[in-house]
Amino acid sequence: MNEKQRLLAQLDYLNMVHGVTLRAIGTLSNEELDFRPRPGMRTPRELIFHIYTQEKILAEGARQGRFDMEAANRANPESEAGAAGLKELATVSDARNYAAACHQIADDTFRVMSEEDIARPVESPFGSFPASQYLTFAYDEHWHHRGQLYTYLRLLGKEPPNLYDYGS
Amino acid sequence: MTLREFYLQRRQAEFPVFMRVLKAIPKDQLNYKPAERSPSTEQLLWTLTSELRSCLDVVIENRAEWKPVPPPPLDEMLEMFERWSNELTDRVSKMDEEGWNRTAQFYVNGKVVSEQPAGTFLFFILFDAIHHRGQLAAYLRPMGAKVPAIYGPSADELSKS
Repeated sequence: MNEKQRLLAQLDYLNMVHGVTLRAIGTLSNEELDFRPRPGMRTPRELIFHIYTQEKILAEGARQGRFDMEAANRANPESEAGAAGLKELATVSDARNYAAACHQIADDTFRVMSEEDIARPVESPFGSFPASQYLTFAYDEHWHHRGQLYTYLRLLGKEPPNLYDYGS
Repeated sequence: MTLREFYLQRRQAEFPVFMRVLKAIPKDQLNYKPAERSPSTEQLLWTLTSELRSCLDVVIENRAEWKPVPPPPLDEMLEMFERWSNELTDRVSKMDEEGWNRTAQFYVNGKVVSEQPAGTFLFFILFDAIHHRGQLAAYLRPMGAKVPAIYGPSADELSKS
């Protein structure tokens, strides 16, 4: 399996993981998007915004060959740029649409990359990594923050979707 | 880079993150659970640790069995987590591609519940563990603990500096 094939397999799996995340988001009500378990913790709206903005901007960085702090901050709802973007997620429907749109952009961006594009080093404030590594960053982030979201769903008295129910 | 090498790279990147989160757990909060249906801190930690044992069994014997073993004390679990993590990385680094692709069985209550290549199982468990670590990370502040840096500095880390 070459790097391109590995990246495509990772994208296919992320598509399935994303499907489960969309269902998890769909269990929330509009009001619950503002639920904050403790001061200083993110709300579901902020978590969803972070997961998906991060996925999109990491893909953009991989395509452009550079990922800077300004881009990284756009995914943080605590930053000025992030707070502005967060307003797009007013309702659960908005949040799902936002998630789907960001995911699609990232998928489209990575999927068309050539072997050469994938291997190209991309500079970031945290070091220089091959472009393919930026998909892995997005992938790890997704699993991690969705784990947090699952704890929130329990706190809200909900039954989270089966984590591995990729069939529905 | 082969998938096995990629897995090793991910394990090496994730291991210190796991250790930071696990070491942030307050000793007196093992019974904490945010909601009645949630696993307790101790259950999550024991799941993360036991998953490593299953990965090792798959690598060594091509089969693993999930057994309901009571969790040991916190310090012992942390020591097991660290030891098994290192052993797993070491063993996978010495695996050949044939071993990585060999079919392994996973048993629960004596029945085969999954049959898949060892490498597929190892990746599956790595991301399952990242998910559970994410759950656990959301327990930390309600337990009165600080969240360590995970994929970047946490708000608690930034407020220290």
